[in-house]
Amino acid sequence: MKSIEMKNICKNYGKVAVVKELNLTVKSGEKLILLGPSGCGKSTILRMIAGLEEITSGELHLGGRKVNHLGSGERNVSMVFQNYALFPHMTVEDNITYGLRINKVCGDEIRRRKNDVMKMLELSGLEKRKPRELSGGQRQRVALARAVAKQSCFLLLDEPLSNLDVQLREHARKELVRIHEKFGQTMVYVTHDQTEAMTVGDRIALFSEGMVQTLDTPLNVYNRPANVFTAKFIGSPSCNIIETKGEGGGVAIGNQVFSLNGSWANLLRGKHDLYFGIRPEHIELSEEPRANSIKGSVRYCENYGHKTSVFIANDGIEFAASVEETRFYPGETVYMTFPQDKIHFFDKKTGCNAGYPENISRSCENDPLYKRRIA
Amino acid sequence: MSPDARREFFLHIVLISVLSVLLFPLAFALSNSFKTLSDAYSSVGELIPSRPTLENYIHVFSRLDIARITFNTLFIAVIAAVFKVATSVLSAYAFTAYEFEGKNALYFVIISTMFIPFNVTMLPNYLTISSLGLDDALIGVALPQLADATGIFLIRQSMKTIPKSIIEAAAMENKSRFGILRDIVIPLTRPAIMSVGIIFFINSWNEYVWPVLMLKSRSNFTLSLALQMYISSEGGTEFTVAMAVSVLTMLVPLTLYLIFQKFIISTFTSSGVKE
Repeated sequence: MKSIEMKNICKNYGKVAVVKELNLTVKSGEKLILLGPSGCGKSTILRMIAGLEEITSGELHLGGRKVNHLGSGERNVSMVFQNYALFPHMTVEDNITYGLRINKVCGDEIRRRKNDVMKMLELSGLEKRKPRELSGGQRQRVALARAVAKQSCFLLLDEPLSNLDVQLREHARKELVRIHEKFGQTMVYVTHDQTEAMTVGDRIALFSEGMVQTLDTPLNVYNRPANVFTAKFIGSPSCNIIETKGEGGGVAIGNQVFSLNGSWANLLRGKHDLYFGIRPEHIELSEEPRANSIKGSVRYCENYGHKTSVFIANDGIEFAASVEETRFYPGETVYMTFPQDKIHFFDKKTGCNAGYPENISRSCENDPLYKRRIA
Repeated sequence: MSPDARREFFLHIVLISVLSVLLFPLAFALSNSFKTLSDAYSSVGELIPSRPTLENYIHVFSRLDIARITFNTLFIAVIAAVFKVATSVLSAYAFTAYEFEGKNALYFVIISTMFIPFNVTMLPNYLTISSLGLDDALIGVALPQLADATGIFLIRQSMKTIPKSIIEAAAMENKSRFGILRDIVIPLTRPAIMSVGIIFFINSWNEYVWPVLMLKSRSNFTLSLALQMYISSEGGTEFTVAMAVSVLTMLVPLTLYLIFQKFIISTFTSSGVKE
């Protein structure tokens, strides 16, 4: 009964359509990530759910109830803003309890909830501080505490971690997941950070230009990208996508031919104009030629410590490969091997995934991680 | 002297001269209010009276119903300031938080009233008030001063500096927009609201032309009208008493300004800069 349903939702600013015919259901207790590049409409969707933005057309249901006409204060939704939006003139505890006091929750209950969230979010001792006397991480936790103390069924988060430094962000991410485990709200989380999307979400809705590009579990989004946009958006460095043509049991990579195994060849029979895709971390590199390897030369390397990104040129095509070793240097010749179970093909016209030979179902219900989280 | 120090030096000379020009009338009034009339005529420029006297003040308190006059002035100033602030806050909030057809046009019309000189509205206002039977009544003086475009402008500028997300965060909790105004917007714009209120109060306190037009009976006089009695044709001989009334008139606005000068200065300097 805590689901969020969006039916044919459109949002226009004047003549500009920001969200186009959105149909999306967030299941009760689910953590749905709205992911996408800036300007893709993800924040607008969140704000429409919160009631901060009017819906141009379509229906929004919260917990089975149509809420289009309700103001944001009447929807029983809590939200964490990107800049935290703490009330600067109120102390930490006043910030946390403001909504409860306004909505006439009884004093004992307010005190109990306040103490609970302050303890859980490690804010004890800061009750009387004003927001300007807090660090960024503390402010973020107060904003979260305020949203949690409301105990509404729906928790909306608008890039809640983007103002934190990397270490704090990791900590706060875990905290978010822990809070969700405790309260089980239906959570909609807007981010442009793919790490957050992959680690926090039960499902990811990836947006581009106001439309859902893909809606799936993090692992499926990563391993079985529905289209070229999805493949390129998730992963860093992003997935190698190379224009190719089917050539009798193989595909052309520049002037060389990469042979496919029988099941791939069967699947792609009759399809000529394709994109070939492989993630940088799935490319195997060697100094010596191997069976079915593609030759290239190292252009430059980026060393991240735990991995090295090697950029390889091959007949005018550039590949990125991520490897653990740092034994490859610019100017060297390397041979790339593409494991057959890690490659992707996309239709060149539509950009859609051309399928996988092993017939792995792409529905998220088969993802064990997802099953466990939802159960 | 280094160039920086030289710059400082000249800057101070300029500031000190400006300050003396501004302060001289104050000192002049204050010192002459403590002189006898003959002393004042023989040594009008002497800033520290050689034979100080309280004669003028005694005169004022015995001959004038100064309590009544002060009350009249206060009554009008408080009504004008309170109502102007209330209407300014409400309309500034409407212009900040609401979206409606013709909002900008309406705002433009309201702001343009700032540029209509008082002389233009004086007679129509006089005719309206007297047709209501309120001439020679304190409330009649206050009535046309219940709203003010300057207040709307200044308070709106201050409200615009509140981040939108703070208002939205309040809207997530509040069913009423008035609650947001009361709990969030007013506390966050308090300095601007207070300084605008004080400016309104002081303006009304010092008002002369409009009360002189409206008020006939002495029992309704305000401080500036009382002052006028001593500087007009027959009062020319009681120049030092006029100075004493001047000092008394200045006392309240000056005190208010000294207490709240920080708010007032920041409101007026930031109003044009932010956003």
